Amino acid sequence: MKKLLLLGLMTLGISVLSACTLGTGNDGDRSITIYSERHYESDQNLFDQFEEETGVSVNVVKASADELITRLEQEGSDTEADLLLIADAGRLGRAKDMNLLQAVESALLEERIPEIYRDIDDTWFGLTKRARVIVYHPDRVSESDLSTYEALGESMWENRVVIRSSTNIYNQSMIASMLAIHEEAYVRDFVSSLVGNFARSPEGNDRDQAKAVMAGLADVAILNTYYMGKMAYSSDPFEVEVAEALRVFFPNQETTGTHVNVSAIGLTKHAKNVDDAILLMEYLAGEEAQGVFANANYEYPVNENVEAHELLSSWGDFVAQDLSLTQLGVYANEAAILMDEEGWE
Amino acid sequence: MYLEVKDIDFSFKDETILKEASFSMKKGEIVALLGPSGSGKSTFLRVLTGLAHISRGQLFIHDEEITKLPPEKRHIGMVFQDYALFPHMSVKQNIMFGIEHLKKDDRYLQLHKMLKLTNLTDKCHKYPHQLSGGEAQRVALARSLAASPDLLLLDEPFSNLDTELKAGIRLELKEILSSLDTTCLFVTHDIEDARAIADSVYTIENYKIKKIENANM
Amino acid sequence: MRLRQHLHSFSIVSIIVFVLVLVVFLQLFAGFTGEASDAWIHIKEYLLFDYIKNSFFLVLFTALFSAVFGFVGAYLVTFYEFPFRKFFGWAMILPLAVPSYIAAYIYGDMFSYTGIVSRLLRGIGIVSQIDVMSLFGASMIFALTLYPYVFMTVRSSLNKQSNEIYESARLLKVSKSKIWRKILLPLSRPALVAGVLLVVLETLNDYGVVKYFNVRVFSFAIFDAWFRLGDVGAAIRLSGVMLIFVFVIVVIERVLRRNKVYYTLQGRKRLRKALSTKAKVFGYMALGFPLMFGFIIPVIYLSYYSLLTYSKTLDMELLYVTVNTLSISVVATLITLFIALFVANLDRFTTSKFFKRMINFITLGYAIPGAVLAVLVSLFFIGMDRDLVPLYQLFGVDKTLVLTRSLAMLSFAYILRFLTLAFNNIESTYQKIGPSYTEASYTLGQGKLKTLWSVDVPMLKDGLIFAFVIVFIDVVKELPLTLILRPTNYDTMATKVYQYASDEMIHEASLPSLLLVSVGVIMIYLITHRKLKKRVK
Repeated sequence: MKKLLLLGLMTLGISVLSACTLGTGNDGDRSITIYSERHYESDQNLFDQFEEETGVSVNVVKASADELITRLEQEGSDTEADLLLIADAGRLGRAKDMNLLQAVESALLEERIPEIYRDIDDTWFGLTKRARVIVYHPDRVSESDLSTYEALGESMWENRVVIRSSTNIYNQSMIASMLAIHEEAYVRDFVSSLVGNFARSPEGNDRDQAKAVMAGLADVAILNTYYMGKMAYSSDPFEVEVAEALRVFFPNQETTGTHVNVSAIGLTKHAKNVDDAILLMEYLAGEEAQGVFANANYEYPVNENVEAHELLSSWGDFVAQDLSLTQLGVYANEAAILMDEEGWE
Repeated sequence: MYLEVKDIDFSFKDETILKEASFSMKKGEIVALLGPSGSGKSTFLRVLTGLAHISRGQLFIHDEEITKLPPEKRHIGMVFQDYALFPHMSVKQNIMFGIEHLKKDDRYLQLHKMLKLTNLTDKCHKYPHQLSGGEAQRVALARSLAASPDLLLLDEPFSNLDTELKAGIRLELKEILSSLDTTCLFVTHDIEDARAIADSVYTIENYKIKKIENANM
Repeated sequence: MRLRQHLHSFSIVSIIVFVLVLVVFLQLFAGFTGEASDAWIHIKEYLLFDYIKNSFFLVLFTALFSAVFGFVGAYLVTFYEFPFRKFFGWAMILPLAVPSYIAAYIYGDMFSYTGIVSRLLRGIGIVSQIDVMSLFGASMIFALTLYPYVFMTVRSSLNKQSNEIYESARLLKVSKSKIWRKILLPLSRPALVAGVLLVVLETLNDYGVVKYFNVRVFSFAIFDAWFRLGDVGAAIRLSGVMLIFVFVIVVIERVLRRNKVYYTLQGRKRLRKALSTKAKVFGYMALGFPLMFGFIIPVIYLSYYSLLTYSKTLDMELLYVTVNTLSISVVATLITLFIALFVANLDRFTTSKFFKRMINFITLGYAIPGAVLAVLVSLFFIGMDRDLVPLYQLFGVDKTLVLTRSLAMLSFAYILRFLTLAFNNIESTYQKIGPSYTEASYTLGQGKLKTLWSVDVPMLKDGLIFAFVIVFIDVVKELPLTLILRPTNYDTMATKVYQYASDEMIHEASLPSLLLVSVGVIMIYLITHRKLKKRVK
């Protein structure tokens, strides 16, 4: 029995030790904490670079957007988070509505980030853009068949469209953007006709949609641009094959523009290190950091002085929705409910 | 009186076994509780040890009330029907289990006394699964007696033994108990067992404990 | 003074656990008191029926498949002799080491357009794709990774049935199918039902598989209501509906099991029959299929991609993650077993109806889906921290959230979640040894704790080690609780795998997955190859 107790004590010791050594204690004098949904190595490199330049160390807490927001809410004024970084403007809108963010006044941010990619009340700022595009197989679809998202609801696309589930935030924000532009009835018609053209009930992630097109299950898919980039440079040769075979089409060029969403950052309501946090925000919007975002993760930089990755440039320029992304948060719940009502699984 | 059971009620699995029953024993007396299996005799032993609870009444040993004491504080020993020897302990460890609070010298003195009394000295380092039925019973007895209980209870002490061995073991048991002047209550379904050992014989009848007057005839 | 009779270390520990479970539960029911929100009305109108329907079919299919895999396997290795029988005896448990969500990522990938299966099919000219990412596919994945629960419970119950019953039935010229229908199945039913119940509860608790496959069941719905619709109240109501669902299943199991623990102790060594050649083919298929798809293929897949991606994923962090996982799991499992021992002891000896009900309630913890439990535990700890602020200040700690998101909080959640599993294992071991040893110790003047340490624990050793391994593997695999409650940047193997997978880096998830599976495999190998000391004649 004594052995067992000893073992218990030992493990307890080890775990306490490991918790101490592995937890990211505030070792520097100046440090900030960021709640981030993104777990890219390139982000970490940027934070390291930032620390080198400013002496402010960055402590990153990673979890899903919803967990982070719930956590912020639960922690209230006791939170350690100074910044919230999330890959969807709609979710940041929710955080703003829940009164978890505060406005930032910064001339640098205003200069570096176009107005539509910032919150109207300056509580969050977009850092990277991704377009939600149509991907098609050139053997079965000719480019001239494609025009708008709405056109995918027409009868010629019956049983030919795949897209992931309505619980996916990118879809929710896409529909929210339409609700912001059009009447509800118009969007409802579109969703209902699109759902009618689904080649299968939604499943899997964005890459799986592209693969379904490749497999001939469907002829077109709607997905985010950076997934095409990730597949094109994947370690799996078969994913590269998919990326090379399929083509990207930017819809709604003649009408409302292609739907664009952002990864965006906001200052938390109860941030303890406001100045340093804003310093990091400005750094991430700067040209150096924007270049890293563009190259490592195949996203479009928000800073217009920075070039996109060559793969993205090869697809050509496109017209984006002329819509303040603040609207994505405003219409998020309405979009979710509408999608359910029209039977989008 | 040494053991006093006053007006107790208890039931087992929703079946009433005793109602306002009383019972008593003198010091050094050996009493048999006779009855068919399922009549509640063993449950009565469990009540005395505190392993089962009564809904009414009082229990005394030496005029001290023990009704509310937990089993470990009652100083009542019990030899279980299946002996319940701890399989992971040797004979020696089994016997010394109940006297760990004694000083080391006293503990070993008691151990050797018990081993000698039960004629187990050469089995001291054996484990329960290496013992015969009779030996196992003697270990169980030695283990209970080592703690010098105020009262010893035996639950069907002969049920697991071969008939040929029984007569000898009964005598042995009687001798051991007498030599220590142990107050002992045992339950059995066999009137022969009762006659051979007990000073008096009782049975459970109409929810009461009654003496059988001419049992020893 | 009856109260004093009932207050002792066992009941006090049990009462404390009971109160904690109660407080956590009450937070759930507090959510029901408010007005129905729009989101809830919306869910009721458009989604609730689907959730119930899907959950029902997912549970039904999973239960059926796992019952078949587990029962047939256990039957074959118990009653028949054939080459590799001993190997299958322990190897059939191995799929338990593969978390369902990892199997889902693997099969999702293998059957995708770029996956090996589709490529092979295309190679022989078949273009159509097999859709594993469906309700049916999900139930298959749950069955393949969870059937060992059925296998283990059924086998241990078959082991207790003597050959004589079957021999005498055969002497009475009863047909084989009648022996199955009239003897084998009824005798093994309690064990079968108990095993299947475990599978069902694990299935309902899962979040990883159903999310990836977009199968809309309750655990999915709870997250969806909470996150997509942003309505905690609706999420809590859904949890309530789900708990009713689970409760019905648990009650059905208890009714089916009541007074039905039959076993006859085996008279002599079991004589196993040889299998005919035809039966051998069937036998190897019945054993090979679940083992192949539940374990061998996933391990080959993970090994292959670990080799391809290790340059990206093998780093110091992985070592920390391993240490984290093992240490928190060992600590949480030991505490869980410790508490379960106390509760099981109260359960053995109490006659009080209140205590019996209390224990029934405590052991419901297993039925609360991890996601719900995580929310409740985190609310509970934040509340507690805020109340404890004066105490913290006394010790000069200038922080409010001290316990929140600490390892203590995570361990607490694990304990609540897995107490039932530990309790059931310990209780069944106690039933095997019976109460008399413990009672003998009491009559020898030893108190409850002393008896626990020097009599119960050594006698329960094998059962305790088994319970340890079962709970440990479950803690290591646990995802939703760990994900939500872990301390800042405290990664375990499970969260690491989830992160890679949710970033659509399925191949990069291979190495941590392989580590996670290895931990389970080693534990299973050790318990199945331990030399049991036989002390009972």
